[in-house]
Parts: sequence; C-alpha cells; structure tokens
Amino acid sequence: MDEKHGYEIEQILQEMRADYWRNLEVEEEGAGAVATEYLVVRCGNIRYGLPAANCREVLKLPRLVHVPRLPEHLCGIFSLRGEIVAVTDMCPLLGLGPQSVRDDFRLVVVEVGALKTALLVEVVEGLSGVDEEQVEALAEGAGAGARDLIYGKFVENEDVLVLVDLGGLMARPEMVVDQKQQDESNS
Amino acid sequence: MKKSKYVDIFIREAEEHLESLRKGILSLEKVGMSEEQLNELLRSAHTLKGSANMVDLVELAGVAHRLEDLLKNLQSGEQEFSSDLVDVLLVATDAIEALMAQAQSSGGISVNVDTVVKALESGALDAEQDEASAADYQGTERRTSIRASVERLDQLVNRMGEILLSQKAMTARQAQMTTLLQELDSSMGGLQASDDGSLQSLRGNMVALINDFERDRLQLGYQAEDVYQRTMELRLLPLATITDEFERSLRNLARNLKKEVNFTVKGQEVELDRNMLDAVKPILLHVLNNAIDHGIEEPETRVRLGKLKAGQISLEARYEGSFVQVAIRDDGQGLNPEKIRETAIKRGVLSADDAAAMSDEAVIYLVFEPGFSTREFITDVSGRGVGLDVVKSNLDQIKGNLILHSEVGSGTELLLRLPLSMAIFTGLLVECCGETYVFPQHYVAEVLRVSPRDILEEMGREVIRLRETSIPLSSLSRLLEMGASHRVSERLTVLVLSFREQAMALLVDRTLGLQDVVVKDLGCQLKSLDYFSGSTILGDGNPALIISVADLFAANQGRQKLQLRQAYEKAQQNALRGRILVVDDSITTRTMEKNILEASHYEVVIAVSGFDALEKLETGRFDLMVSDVEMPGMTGFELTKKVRQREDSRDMPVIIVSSLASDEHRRQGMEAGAQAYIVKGNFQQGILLETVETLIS
Repeated sequence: MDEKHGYEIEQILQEMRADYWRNLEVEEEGAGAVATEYLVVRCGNIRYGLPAANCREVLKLPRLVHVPRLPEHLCGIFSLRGEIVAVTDMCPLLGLGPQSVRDDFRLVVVEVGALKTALLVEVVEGLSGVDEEQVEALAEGAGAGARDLIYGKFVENEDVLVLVDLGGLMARPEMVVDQKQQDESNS
Repeated sequence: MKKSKYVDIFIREAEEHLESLRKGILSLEKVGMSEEQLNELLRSAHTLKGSANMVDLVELAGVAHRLEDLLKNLQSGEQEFSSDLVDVLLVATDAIEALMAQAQSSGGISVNVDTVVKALESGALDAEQDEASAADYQGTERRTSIRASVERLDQLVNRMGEILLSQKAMTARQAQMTTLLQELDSSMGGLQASDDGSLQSLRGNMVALINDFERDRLQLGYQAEDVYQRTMELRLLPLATITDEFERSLRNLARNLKKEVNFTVKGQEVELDRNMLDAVKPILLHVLNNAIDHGIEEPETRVRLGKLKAGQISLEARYEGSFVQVAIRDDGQGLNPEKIRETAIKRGVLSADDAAAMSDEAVIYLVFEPGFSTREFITDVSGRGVGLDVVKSNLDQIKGNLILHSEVGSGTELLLRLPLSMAIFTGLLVECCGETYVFPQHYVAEVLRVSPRDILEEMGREVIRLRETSIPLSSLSRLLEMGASHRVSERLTVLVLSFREQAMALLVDRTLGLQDVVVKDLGCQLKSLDYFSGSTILGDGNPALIISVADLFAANQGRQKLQLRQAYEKAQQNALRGRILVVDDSITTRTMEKNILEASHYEVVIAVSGFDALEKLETGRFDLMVSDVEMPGMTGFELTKKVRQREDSRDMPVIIVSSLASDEHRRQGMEAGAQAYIVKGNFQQGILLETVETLIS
C-alpha cells in the first residue's frame, strides 16, 4: 500500500493507551461504572460512535473501483493488502441520504464475525470512553426508521454521540450482496 | 501394472511403514532388541504385505512376506540377531522402496527381487549378493513426501501469482525510468553530449542502474515463473481420479434403465488443476447421465435401427495449448431440435416466436437451461431439470467453453474446452466508463474498430457484419446499466465474444491490452454478482472486475436496441464533425476554405499568419490544420514544424494548400510533417473535403 493510504492507527493506539490508564483511574473512582471504547467518527453534522472492539484500522480514502448495479450504500471496492474489501456508506442504512465523497474522507475497516467492511466517514475524531450508565435512548421520532441500528446516545458537554449498533448494522441483509442466489429465488 | 488411484493411496501408507521399519531396524542395532520393538516391526511388515496384495503389487508383497517371516524367526529365537541381519533387513526396505517407486512411475529402477528374497530366507547376504544388491539400489531415490492441504497450496499459488504480477509492474517501472532518462536528455539539450563531466558520469550511472535493474528483474522473473510452474504442478491430478468413479456409476445407471452401455475413456493421464477437476466433475457426470438417460436407446430399439446392441459412450481428453479439450460422444438418438422447441415453449423457457426464430444449432443448447427436460416422464436420473444449472454455473466459474453438436438418429457430441488452471488466466483489459474490466482472453475472438455506419439493423436488432455473418451488437455500459452511453465517434471499439458457438459484438470504450491475471473473489460482502465472476488486482494495486461472459450472453438475449447508428446519423446532422484551424494570409482563400468546411459541419477557426495560428493553438484543441505556405513572418513549412514540436498538436494532421507546385516544395512540406499537399491551381472543393475526411477519421 502506498503512502497516501497510510494508517493513522499509531495515533489511535496512543490515544487508546492514554484512555486505558484514564479509565483505570475512572473505574477506581467511579465505583464500578462500566466504560466502553467507541471510535468517534463524523458523517455530515452527526457524530457517531463505533464500538472500538470491532474497528480494525483507519485508512485514507484509496481509489474506489465502482461496481455496477450495487445498492447506493455500497460505494465500491478496493484492495486492502491484496484482499478485496467493499466500502459501505452507513448513512443510507441509517435512513439518511448518501454522503457526497471528498478526497479527504476516511475509511474505518470494521469486522463483525466473518464479515468485514470499510465504513466511509467524513472525519475520524478519535477514541472515547462511554459510561454505559449514561447512555440514553434517542429522542422520540429521531432515528428515521433505523432506530434498531442505534444503540443509544451519549451526551457530553452538549455534544451528542450517536452510538451505532455495529452488530445489528452488519447483520442487515443489505450488507451482503448475493445476486445470483437472488436471481434463482426470483425465477 | 495398472496405475490406479489406490496405488497412490497405498504408496502414502507404505511410506509411513517403511519409515518406521527403517527406524526400528536401526534402533535394534543401536539399543538392542525388545519385544515391543519387534512387534512394531512385525505389524508394519504385515500391513505392507496385505496392502501390497490388495493393489496387486505381488513382488512387493512377496518381499514384505519374507521380511515378516524373518522377523517372526527373530522373535521366536530361531534366527540370531547380528549386524549382518540388520544389513539384510535394510536391503529389504531398500527393495520395498524401489518397488514402490516402480509402481508409481511404472518402471525405471530395476530390483533383483530374487536376490533379496534369498537373503531374507537365509538371513545373510553373501559378498556377491551384497555387491549386486548395492548396485541395484544405487538408483533408488529416497522418496520423502508430506501431505499439504489444498487450501495451503492455493494460498501458495495465489501468492506466487502476486509475485509474478509485481514482476510485471517492475517492467513498467523500468520503461518509465527509460522514458525519464530520455526526457532528461532532451530537456537538458543532449545530456549525452554534454561537456559537463559530472553530469555525464551521473547519466552514465543512471544508465548502468537501469541496466542492472533490468538484469535483476529478468532474473527474478525467471525464478518466479519457475517456482510458479512448480507450485501449479503440485495441484495437478490426472483425469483418472474422477473418471474411475464414472465407470461404476454409469454401469449401475444403465442397468437401472435397462440399457446396455459400453463406456470408454481415453486420455485419463491428462492432468488438470484439482479445483478444475472438482468443478468439471458434475458437468461430465451430468452430461454422461443425460447421454444414457436421453441419448442411448433401449437395446431392442438399437438392434432394430441396425446399431450395436450396447450404446457407445466415449470420453476423450487431450491437451490443446494451455487448454484441455474433453469430448464426450454417444451414438444414441441425438437431440431433436423440434422436440426441444416444443418443450422449451411448454416449460416457459422461451416464447413461441423466439423459439421459431432460433436456429436448430442454437436450440439444442436450451437443454442446459434450468428447468428444462425433454423427458415425458420425470426420472430420478436427469429428467428433473436439476443439475443442468450446475453445468452452466460451474462452466462459468472455471471460464470454460462448451460446444454441443447433435444429429438426430446418430448421436451427440459435446466438446468442453477447459483452461488448465482456475487460479490464473490471460485476460483482455478493457476500459468502459472510466473503469477497467477483464475479459478472459479465450472468449474474445477478435477486437474490431467499426464505424457507426457499419451497424445494420436486422429484424429489429442491431448487428455488425463480419465475414458474411451478422453478429448481434450490445454495449457493455448498457448491459451493466452504467447510465453513461458511449461516445458517438467515427471509430468504435467492439469485442467479438464467442461462447458456446454463439457470437456477440460488444461495444467498449477501448482495449488496454492482454495481461496474466490472478483470480480473486469479490470479498465477503459481495458473495455473487451478476455479470462478474471474480476480481483481480492490477499492476497499479487497484482491483478490476472479471466479466462473466456467460452472464453477458444470457442478458444479451432480448435486449433493447442501442440505436447507435441512429444516434450517429443524428449526431452527423446536428453536431460538428471536427474543429479545423485554417491559416492563410489571403482573405479569399481562407474565406473559401472556411465556407467549404462549414458547409460540411466542421467548426472553423481562422488564423491570418503563422504566429496567429500558434496563438490559436494555445487556446484550444483542433482536429486538423489547413495552412498556406507563403505567409509573412513564418512560412507554412515553419509553422508545421512548430506544430509538430508542440505536445498537444504533435499528432494533429496538417494539410498544406499552396500555389507552389514543384516536387521540391512538396518534399519540403512532407519533411516539415504535413500529411497532405494540395496545389491551389487544382484546388477543388471535393479534394479538400475528401482529404480532411480521410485524415480526421
């Protein structure tokens, strides 16, 4: 992989390390409060938290090869060290319009079970520990029909972090394309 | 001795026993004899004897038998233990190894079995025997082997393929370096001839570096190619590994159907990639089952027709370049196109009109459509229409091709053309709507450049004519629903694809050349895609999709017209045919030329001098320039030379229109780089237009 696809994982790892120690302190003080690590990303003006345990790496946007006849949430494919990985724009799956891609967008490679995808995001902010007890439900009517993919929200200094249920997202049938199987069942 | 797959199994088993025999015998000498040790040796000798008998290796079984006897004697105390005895035992294991090698390669190493048997019986080697046996076994190679999973072999082949591709990328890098050097030379005003010594030596070092790089690259290439070939060979297995099983299952099937069949196989030794064999097996089995079920008649019918009582079915395989051709023939009743049409309509496979429009040759391929069967009754064998789909999808997976011939009453012939490997193939790289796609080369019959005028309409379909045949035309971007339509230009790039004896012309933007590609899947998220069978990674590290030609053919049926010709004609009427720069200091000449060209839908820009022309060239692209010679400040010849030096007008055609009619002037014009020279005295509207049209198209 050439330079422009370089990874920012080192920085993230450093932050993870700092957070780890910070969380140890918090745990000691906060008597049993459970904090979960989330990778904070931004798509448009919404900040999303992706469970850090499922995030593998962050990449600069490589050239995406367009695959004809795919649904709008699949933006193309690229080679991740010889492995073909598809790029998913989660916005349409969350009931929002597709993002208009710019060169400075990032890809977050996530893995749940045997399924791996690269999520297209505008900005990667970094890692954040979220106290499970402070996770709130989304406001009534928010979530535009994709509430089942949202684990909840976390509000800190008036910044809202929408926590994505990656397991649920990756389990959505739209995530896997099997056109030949589909053709057979249609006929 | 007949080499069957069981011999291979035996050899693997025997290798383990041989190893334990050798170790045990040596430890008898080193550590001394123990009951347990002897039992172990006896077990190995006994198993070897039994297994060798099973696979008809009588001599090997004989040696193992005597070995077992001698060990028993040793156990009972009848035979005394000595180091001479160890020699005898070891000679026996050498003999067994030689006989194993012989069984595998059907000959090669001579083994004097009698001598070995005699030594085992007497418990000693005499000097002569010792020498003789030593000579006999000198050629015996020590065969050691390990088992490796197919998956690991596949990974190895894949990685090797990647290395080959990297090596190809290095070739491109080298070309870039050479170009860079040339550019450096020209921009530094002939670096080669430079007086500056340090620059000279720098250049010399660079040339040497490029040469060294080439040598290393070639070296790496040869090695990588060699390792790749050897790795590929590890995956090859003879066709016999699958055809052996066919014989029994076909005999059973024939018996159940009360038919008599004589099945013959030729070319069992032809070796194919293991994955290929797995993929091709259901195809062959299906076709053979069909031949018995539908093709071969009942014995009484055959006799009445004057045929042999037993139906003849043959399977023949042979190498053809980097392909294997497998032919399956039967002498049954053949496929009846009429009956197939009726059934296809009845089963809703196609409409009555479509069926009527199809030729007999094309109709017989319908038997491979899912849900199709010509049988009146559904049988357990092949009448359910299942499995046929397997033929289609497997064939697509292995990128093979299939040809079916049949004659009513005399039989059917099916020819399968299979690439030797599924892991790598030669692909034609094609650009369409800004992306690169790969076509397996063996589906591409030819690449044509056609004019929209060559597109004809036949019974509502657009076709092109090629060697007196009409070939239906489609567009890749249209089939892939990419929205963007092809540029309507004078020259279109068309691939002629061939699949199951059908041809199809496919419009693409341009071809990018042939390349060996390593097949990869489409990743875990894209399990299967219509029109694509996989992907590959190109030299620049980007993936490219591999086109499924079978899917294209399936989709091409009943497609809408491209209306390319109409689009072209419309474009001809409305749009401009090209942008021309007319350079002349005479207002009469340039106005005349401008009017002639504009009347024929060319866009014309006027320049009044050479300098003016160069300025105009800076502001935009032109398809052609028409220039006078004698002009103030700069002649037409000088202008042409300058045009040739400019990057973006280097290839622009130039027509000189001049009153200078001598051969010398013509020569000067050509030398300056003009493509045509028209003398004003003979100037006619037709000549200018004709020349412009020829050069622009």
